[in-house]
Amino acid sequence: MTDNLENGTTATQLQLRSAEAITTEERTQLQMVIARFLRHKVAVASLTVFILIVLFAFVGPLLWKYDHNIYREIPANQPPNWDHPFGTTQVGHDLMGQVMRGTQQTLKVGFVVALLSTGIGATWGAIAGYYRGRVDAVMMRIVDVIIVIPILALVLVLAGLTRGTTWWNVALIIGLFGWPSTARVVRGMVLSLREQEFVEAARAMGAGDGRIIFRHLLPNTAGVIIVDATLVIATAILVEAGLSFLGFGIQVPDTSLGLLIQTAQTAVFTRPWLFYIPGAFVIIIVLTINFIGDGLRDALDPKQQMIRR
Amino acid sequence: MPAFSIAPVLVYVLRRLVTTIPVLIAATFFTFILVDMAGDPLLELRFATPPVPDATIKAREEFLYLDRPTLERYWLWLTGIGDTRGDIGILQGKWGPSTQGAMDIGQEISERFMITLRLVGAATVFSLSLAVITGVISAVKQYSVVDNVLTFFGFLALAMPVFWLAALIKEAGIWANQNLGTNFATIGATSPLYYRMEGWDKFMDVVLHLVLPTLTLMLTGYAAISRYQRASMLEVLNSDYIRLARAKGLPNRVVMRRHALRTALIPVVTLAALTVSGALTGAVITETVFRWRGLGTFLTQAIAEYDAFAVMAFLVLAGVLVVLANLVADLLYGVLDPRIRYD
Repeated sequence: MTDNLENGTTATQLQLRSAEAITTEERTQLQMVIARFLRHKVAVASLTVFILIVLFAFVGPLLWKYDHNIYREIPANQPPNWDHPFGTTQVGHDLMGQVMRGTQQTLKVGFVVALLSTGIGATWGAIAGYYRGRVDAVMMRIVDVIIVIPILALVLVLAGLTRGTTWWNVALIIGLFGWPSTARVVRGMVLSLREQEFVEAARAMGAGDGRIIFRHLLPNTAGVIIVDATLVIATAILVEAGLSFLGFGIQVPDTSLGLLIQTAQTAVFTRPWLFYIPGAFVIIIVLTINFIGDGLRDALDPKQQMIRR
Repeated sequence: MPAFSIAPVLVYVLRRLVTTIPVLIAATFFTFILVDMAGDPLLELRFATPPVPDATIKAREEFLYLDRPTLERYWLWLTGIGDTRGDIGILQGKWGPSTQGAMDIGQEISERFMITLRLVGAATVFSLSLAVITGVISAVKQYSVVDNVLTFFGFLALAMPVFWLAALIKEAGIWANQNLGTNFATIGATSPLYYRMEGWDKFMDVVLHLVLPTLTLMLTGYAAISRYQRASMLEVLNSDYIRLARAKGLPNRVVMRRHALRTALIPVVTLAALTVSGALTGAVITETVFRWRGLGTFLTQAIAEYDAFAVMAFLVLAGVLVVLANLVADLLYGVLDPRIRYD
């Protein structure tokens, strides 16, 4: 019997059998998600780089001798060297200290915005999709209203007019206007989920609307929400950098990657390290987050097979 | 087959415009309240040292309509009914008083709008074309080296901050001018002597000033749409009717252009409106880097001067532009997909 199979198998049959071999092992959902994520090489590499950057931003300042402030003993305009791995500025900043601080502020903004905006967006979308009818119409019109205005302009106006912005203010303002797209996606999913049997079962067992929305519907959209959150972080980081660049975001003496690039704008050829290093950090952060999101999308999609096609 | 008539399309356009009016009005109300809460334009005046006489502050308040409650001020801004000076009421085409000296918001913004429109228009056209071309190539050559390289550059472009790329392109332009003898303009939308030029020179002047900023916006805007184009083209290429078209013996060129691309463009057209909105925000930053006197600098200046009515003017214009782009996208839908009817 086995002989027969061995002789007559094609590549696909072998693959199918190895797929069976994998699925016959008992695994929890989480294990499967992790296994699928680990298969996505680029995503794993991105996650590693991203963790290193997080460590650099949050643990780095504890270890490195300079922070983002001006010190008299720092020589001006040094290109990268052993004492100052990222070089120094004209007035006596150590760029590595500045980049650490800037990355930290940028990441904090990204995470807070992700929490806030996916939280609001998911709840908003779930409620609209669950109740449908007039509630849905009103709630989604509000989403339309916010989407009409370009987010950077809106955030720029608010951050600019309130002045004296800190990373926390910037995060709040971006978070309060970043959620409409999440709301749309979640609403779409909830509209189809609410018709399924498990919702009816929950209702038959006496679950109220709140319980159905938060315990049954939202967890089922978790995959989409997590992927969406990674996109939100990436957008938030770019918006924050843009704000700081225009001078309406995080203010001196604090710093952010956008602010660092703004000061180095005209130094592209004369002191290139000041321009390229903070820029590279923004790009690498956003790039890795996007790749992680890509990997998570595949990993959290239950329709994905355990074998590579 | 019924003869093609333009009437249903017109009715559709009218109905769409009528339904967007409440959304736009709600959006203006919402932003008006936000702008109003965000900052007091007279803060500096109130706490100035030495103190400014009360009468001066009163006069300023009256000039900016700050002596009225917020809701009344919004009503006044929208309709101009109940105003005695005749400088406010957006529905009558009056944009309200400005804090920036004798600036007339309406005149200033319409001048600057034309400048920004050039940039946004060029950027939208070029980034959409680039997106469609790269997306289709990626899909047709799926998983090839070309596809992987294009995908990588797409992700890179998505991750690049507009201002970083803008500064880089500007400096590269300056470098090219100095070393390669090219003639890109890196500052402003036109040369200072533009008003003295004629015909061809005028046109070339505009083009040379457009090249670098358009390149910036094109590269930051195309990537997202390119990904959608790739996905949508892949879906179409794997469908039965494409197989049928090939089985009929149609040449590859015809299958691609007439059957595949036309259908694959439909989802992408929806995103065109998004591109306009993206180009507009991108323009705010790009104009700052390239020192254009366009809408972007208009906005940042208005914010710096606490010029609430000027900020509102920008937001209204941006909103209208996005709404119009959406409408155009919906109409293009009908051109591409004959199943869609406007009734």
